[in-house]
Amino acid sequence: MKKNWINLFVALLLFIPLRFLQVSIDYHRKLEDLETGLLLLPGQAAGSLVLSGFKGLAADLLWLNVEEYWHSGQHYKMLPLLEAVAWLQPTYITVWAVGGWHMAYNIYVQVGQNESKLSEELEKMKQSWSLQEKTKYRVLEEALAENKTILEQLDKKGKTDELVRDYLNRLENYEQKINLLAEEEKENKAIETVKSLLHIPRNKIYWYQQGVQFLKKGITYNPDKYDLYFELGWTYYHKGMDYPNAVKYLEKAIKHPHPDYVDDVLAHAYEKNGQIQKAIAQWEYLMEKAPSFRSIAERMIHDLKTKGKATP
Amino acid sequence: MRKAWVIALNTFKESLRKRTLYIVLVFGLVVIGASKFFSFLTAQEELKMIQDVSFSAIEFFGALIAIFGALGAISSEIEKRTIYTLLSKPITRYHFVIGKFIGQILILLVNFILLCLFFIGLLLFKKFTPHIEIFKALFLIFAELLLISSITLALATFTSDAFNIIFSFFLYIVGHLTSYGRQLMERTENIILKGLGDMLYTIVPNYENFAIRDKVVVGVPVSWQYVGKTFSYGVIYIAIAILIAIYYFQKREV
Repeated sequence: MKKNWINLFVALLLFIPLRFLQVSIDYHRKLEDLETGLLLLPGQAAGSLVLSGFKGLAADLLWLNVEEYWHSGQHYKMLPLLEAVAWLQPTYITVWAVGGWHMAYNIYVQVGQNESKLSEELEKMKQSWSLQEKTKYRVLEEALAENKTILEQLDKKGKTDELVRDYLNRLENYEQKINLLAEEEKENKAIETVKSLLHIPRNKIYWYQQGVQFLKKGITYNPDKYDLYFELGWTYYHKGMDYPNAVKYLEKAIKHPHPDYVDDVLAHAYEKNGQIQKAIAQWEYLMEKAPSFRSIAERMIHDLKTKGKATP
Repeated sequence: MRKAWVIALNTFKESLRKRTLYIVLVFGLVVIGASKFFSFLTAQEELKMIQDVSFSAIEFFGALIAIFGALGAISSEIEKRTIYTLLSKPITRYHFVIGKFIGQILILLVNFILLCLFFIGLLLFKKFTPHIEIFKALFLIFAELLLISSITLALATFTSDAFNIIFSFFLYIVGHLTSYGRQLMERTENIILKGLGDMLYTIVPNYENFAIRDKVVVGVPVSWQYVGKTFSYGVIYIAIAILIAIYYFQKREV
């Protein structure tokens, strides 16, 4: 009883090794990527979970909200949530991959869904136009035709930086002309409809680029895994038809442990990028590495050597 | 040590008679089981959800058991006046505190094993073989629960139950925020504030050290070295808490 103070003294002394141990643990947390940033989240429940140390659960709750918003078509609400989930668990690759895919593929398609409805409405309006109005509104018809061409080119020619600049310039040209017309005739429904139609390719380009940016951001958090390099390479290849960038990122993907289909896509990307010799070499490599790809690789090599083209 | 063991066994048997612990345990099992209902997601997402919900349930309900178990361990003996009978025997207060803590370890261990078995069973049911990282995360959760229990026990020797429960939960939240506090303190140039922050960072238990589950779920490997150091941190902090508990309990008039 008399020596009770020793207990307290030893307890206080133990804080010294504890301090050193904490410094070492902090170092390990940084080294092993175990730290997480603090984020004030949308939604009370998620915020409270973060404060109590349940970040994974908070991320799951937000992820369920993302799913809900996706199914109810509320795409814009998905974005801050995707960012929040990614911030909470930046090494959770699925968030980046699915987020990028939602933007570059799903939302990209979704923003163009009212095109036919708007076009039909405009067609009805055009039928009631007088001859004088038809001459006056010729620029609307021209803009509409250009808009259709750009929408087709977006999916057929692709979305390289150069092409995107061209699309935007062409759209801007007509937007300026229409704005001048709109100043003369305020609250004209036909003009407003054409303006909405011109927004569609702009929106498509925006969402494609957002998807690409999101994936690039994901790569900065996960630079040592093939997954997001592949996702980005695939998005450039398939959605953007931007083959130089596709090759660039797929080449980065194969530097890390990866499944065989990554090599397959890279071979196709080489071909589309005009690097036929590299494409042949890639197929030959794949043939040796993965016997299941042998028959397709043989066919591709044969077609590339004889026709200079193998991918449809 | 035999005396402490007798008290530990007695504490354990007594806690088995308490209904609250069973209710908490059942809730924990229900929550873990509920994670199975995410089947509308892709297989990979579902697996992540099951792991997140299960880890969180094991920790949260484990923390409830740790706090409520340790809370009544000393005060109930005083209230029921059974402590007089105990201390009149050749049992020192030191044995009493150690015995109570070992008893809490046994309670936590049994509950923890049950929750873990249910969780592992769920993973196996989903045809997912649990890897070593999952066991590392579970091991550190258990170490965290022991630390929470020891701190509540230490507080129980010199505070009221009401204060103890509020303070334990407060400490649980603050303990998960200390790393963020340090990040903020690193940005300050005021030396006094920095020193104060450093001191608080050492004194307040850093529960965030034990939280590797969020990383394990997304496939971030955690070294054994980290697990070992964090476990050592837990052991030292538990020793501090128990020594403080002994100090105050020796001083306390019962």
